[in-house]
Amino acid sequence: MKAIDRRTFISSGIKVLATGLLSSLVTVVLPPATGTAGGTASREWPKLWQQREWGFVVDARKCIGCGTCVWACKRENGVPMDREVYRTWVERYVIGPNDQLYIESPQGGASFDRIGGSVPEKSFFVPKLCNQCADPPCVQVCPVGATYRTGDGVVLVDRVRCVGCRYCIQACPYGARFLHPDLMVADKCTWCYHRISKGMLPACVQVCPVGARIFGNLKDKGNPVTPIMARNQVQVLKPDMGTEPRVFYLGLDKVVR
Amino acid sequence: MAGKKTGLSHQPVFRAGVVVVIILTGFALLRMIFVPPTFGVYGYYRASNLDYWATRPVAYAQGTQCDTCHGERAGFVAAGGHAGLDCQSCHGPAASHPDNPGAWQPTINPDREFCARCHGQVEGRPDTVIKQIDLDQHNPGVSCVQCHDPHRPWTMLGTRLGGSKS
Amino acid sequence: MVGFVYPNELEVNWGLLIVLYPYITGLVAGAFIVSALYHVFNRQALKPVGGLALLTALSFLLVAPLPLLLHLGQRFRAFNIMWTPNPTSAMAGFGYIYGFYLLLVALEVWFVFRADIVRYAESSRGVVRVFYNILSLGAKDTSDETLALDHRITRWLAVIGIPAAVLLHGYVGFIFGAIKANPWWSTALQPVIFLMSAVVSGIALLIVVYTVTSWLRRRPVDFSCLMSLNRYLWFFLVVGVGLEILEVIHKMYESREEWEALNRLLTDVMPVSFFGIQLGLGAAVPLVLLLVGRWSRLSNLWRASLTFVSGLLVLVGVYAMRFNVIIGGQLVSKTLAGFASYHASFFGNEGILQTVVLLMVPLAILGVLLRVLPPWVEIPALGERIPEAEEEEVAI
Repeated sequence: MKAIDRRTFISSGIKVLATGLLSSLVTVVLPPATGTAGGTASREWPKLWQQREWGFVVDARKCIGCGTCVWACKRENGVPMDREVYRTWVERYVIGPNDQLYIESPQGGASFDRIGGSVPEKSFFVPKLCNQCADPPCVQVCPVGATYRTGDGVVLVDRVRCVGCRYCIQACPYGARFLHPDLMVADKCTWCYHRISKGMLPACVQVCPVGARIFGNLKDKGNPVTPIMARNQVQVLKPDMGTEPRVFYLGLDKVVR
Repeated sequence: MAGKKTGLSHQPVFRAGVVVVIILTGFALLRMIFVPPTFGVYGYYRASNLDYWATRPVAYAQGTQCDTCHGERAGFVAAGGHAGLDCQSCHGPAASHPDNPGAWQPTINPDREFCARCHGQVEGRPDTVIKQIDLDQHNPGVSCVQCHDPHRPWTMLGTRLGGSKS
Repeated sequence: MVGFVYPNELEVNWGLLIVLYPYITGLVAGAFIVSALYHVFNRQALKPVGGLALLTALSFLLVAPLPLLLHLGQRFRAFNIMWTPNPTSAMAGFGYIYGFYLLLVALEVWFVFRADIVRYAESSRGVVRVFYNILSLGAKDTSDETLALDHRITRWLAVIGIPAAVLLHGYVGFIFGAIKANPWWSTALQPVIFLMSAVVSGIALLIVVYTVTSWLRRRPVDFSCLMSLNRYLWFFLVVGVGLEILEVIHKMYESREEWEALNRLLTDVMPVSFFGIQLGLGAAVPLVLLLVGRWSRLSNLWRASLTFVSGLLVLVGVYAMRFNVIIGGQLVSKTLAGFASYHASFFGNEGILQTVVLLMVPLAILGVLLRVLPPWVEIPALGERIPEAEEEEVAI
C-alpha cells in the first residue's frame, strides 16, 4: 500500500518537476518578443526607409590616390588618426612587366610614395569601404544582435550592445571592420549615416576632389547614382562570396582583391 | 545499506530537479529584465541605436554652407580649375566654424607637399583625371601659392600682384 | 607582414586566449567521452578513470568561458549573449550550450558521487559536515532502490552527455569552419576535425592526470586501464590526424584560388608549428610510441612510460593544432596576397604567462575536487554494485 502511494507520489512529483522544467526551458529558449517591447525609437524609421535606398558607386578609373577621403573619414567619424584602423582606405596596384603584382595601402592610402614597387606596366588606385552587403556575413555572425542592416541599406554597429568579440571582423571578407581602439567595440564605415540621414553626403564623397565616389538615394529622381548604374557595366568585390555587395565599382581590374 | 527510504521531497531526483528549476526560472526572470527596451522593434537589434547614429555630430559642414558667407569666393572658385571642389577638401573639416566664426577658423597648409597630394606625379595617378607636376622639376623650392591662386589655379598670381590678394 | 594585407588586418584579432578556448573545451569533451565510455558503454577497463574523467571534465569546464571572457573588448557585457542571442550567429549558441552542458556535468557528478557525499556527511563533523550536508542538497536517501535510480539517472545523463559533448565541441569547430571569409578555416570537415582532436586531447589528458595522480598518491597505475587508454588514444589519433591531413590534401588537389596562399602558410610561414609540432611531435611520434607501448615484451614500466610520454606529446600537438588553425587562419590575409605577422607577448592580456596560468587553474580546481570527492576505486562508494574491474581489454 505504502509502496503504491510512494510510486504515485514519485510519478506525480516527476510530472510537476517536468512541467516546471519545460515551462522554464520554453521561456529560456524563446527569442525576445519582437514589436512588443516597450518604448519606440524617436523617429518613424520604417516610414523614412520607404523613401530611401542609398547607393554608392566608386569609379576606380578616376581615383588619384590623394588620400583626402581617408583623412576626412577618420576626422568625421572619430577614428583614431594614428592607429592602423580604417573605415575607408585606398589601395594601389602596380603590375610589372611579367605580371608581378605589387599592392600597398600605406597608412590606409592616406599618403602614397611617388614610386611603387616595380617597373610598372599598369598601375591604378582602388578606394575601399564597407560594401553594406545585402547579405552581410558580419550581421549573420554577431552573437548578441549588436549589428544590423537598416531598411535603407546600411550596416550599423550598436556600440552599447557590442561585446567586442570580433567575430564580425573575422566574418567580413573585405577587411572592412576593426576593433575601435578607444571604444573596444567593432567599428566600420556607416556611409556616414549621421550625415546622409540629415541630407548630407558621406564625408569621403564630399571631399573627393575628382568625383571618384558617387553617392545618392536611389529612390530620389535625379540622384547621380541611377544614371551611372544604367549606362555602365558595374562590378562588385568578391562576388563569389555571395554577400551581395552594395558598393558598385567602375573600371575594376581583375587583380583587385 | 545504511540509508533508509525517504519521502518524495527528500528524493535526490526531486532535490536536483528543484535546483534545476530554480536556476532556469531565475535565468528566465533575469532575461526579462536585461533585454533592452527597444530591442526587436524593427529587427534583431536595439531600435534606439538608429537614433544614436542619425544624431552623431558632423565634422564636415554641408558643402553649400560655405557659400552663405563666402559667396564671392565661391563664385570665383567656380569659374576656375578648382570648380566643383568642396572647400573642406583643402581647408579641412569646418562644421564648427559657422556657429561661431570668430572663435575658430579653418587653416590651410601652404606647403608644396600639400598641393602635391593631388597634383604631384605619383605612380598610378591617371593624368587624364588631374594635372600633375614633377615636384623636382617644377620650380623646386618655390611655394605653389607664390604663383598660383589656390582658388583658381590658372589665374597666375603674378598677373594679379598689384591687385588685392585677399 | 609579408605582401599585401588589408590595412585593418594588421592586427591579429584572435590571439592566445581564443587558442585556449577550443583547447579547453576540447579537453572537456574528450574527458567526458572517456567517462561515458565507462558509465554508458560499461568499458570496465576504464573503471579506474571513470570518476576521475568526470571530475577532470568538470574542472576544465568551469574554466572554459574564462579565456572568452578575458578576450572580450567589453567584458561586463558578456551576458548579452544570454539575453539577446542572435539566432543566426554560430557563436550565439555558446552561452546556452555551455550552460546546458555545465548543468549536465554538474548533475552527473552529483548523482555519481551522491552516495559518497552522504557518507562523508555522516562520518564527518563541524564545518566539513555542514559543507557535505549542503552538497547533498538534503537528499540523504541511500536505500538500494534510490541508489539504483541514481545509477540509472547517471547513465541517462551520460547518454545525453555524449551528443552534448559532441555538440559543445563540434560546434566550436563550426564557429571557425563556417567563416567563408577565411580560406584556412572554411571547411565542413572543421567540426569533425575539432571533435576528433577533442577526444584525442581528452584521452591524453586522462593518461597524464591518472598517471600523475597515482604517482602522487603512491599507488600503482592500473595497467590494463592505461593500456586501454593507449588503444583509444591511438585509434582516435589516427582518425583525427587523418582528417587533418585529408583537409590539406583536398585543398591542395582542388587548387582553388586560395591554395597558393595556404601552401605558403604551411610551408613558409609556420612549417615548424604545423609539420614539426602538430603533425610530427604531436601525432607521428606518439602514434609510434603508443604502438611500442603496447609491445608485451617490454616491461610494464617502459610501456606505461611510453604511454605517458605519448599523452604529453599529444597534448602539445593538439595545442599546436588549435594554434595553427586559429592564428594560422588569421595570418593568411583575406587579400590572398600576403600574410599578417603574429608575436605573442609574455606578460599582459593574450600573453603566454596568462595562457600558462589559465591552464593551471583547472588543474588546481581538479586538485580541490579530488579532495572533496575522491574518485579512487580502491575505496568503493557505498552501494556500488558494479563488479571489480575485469581484465577485459577492449580491442580496437
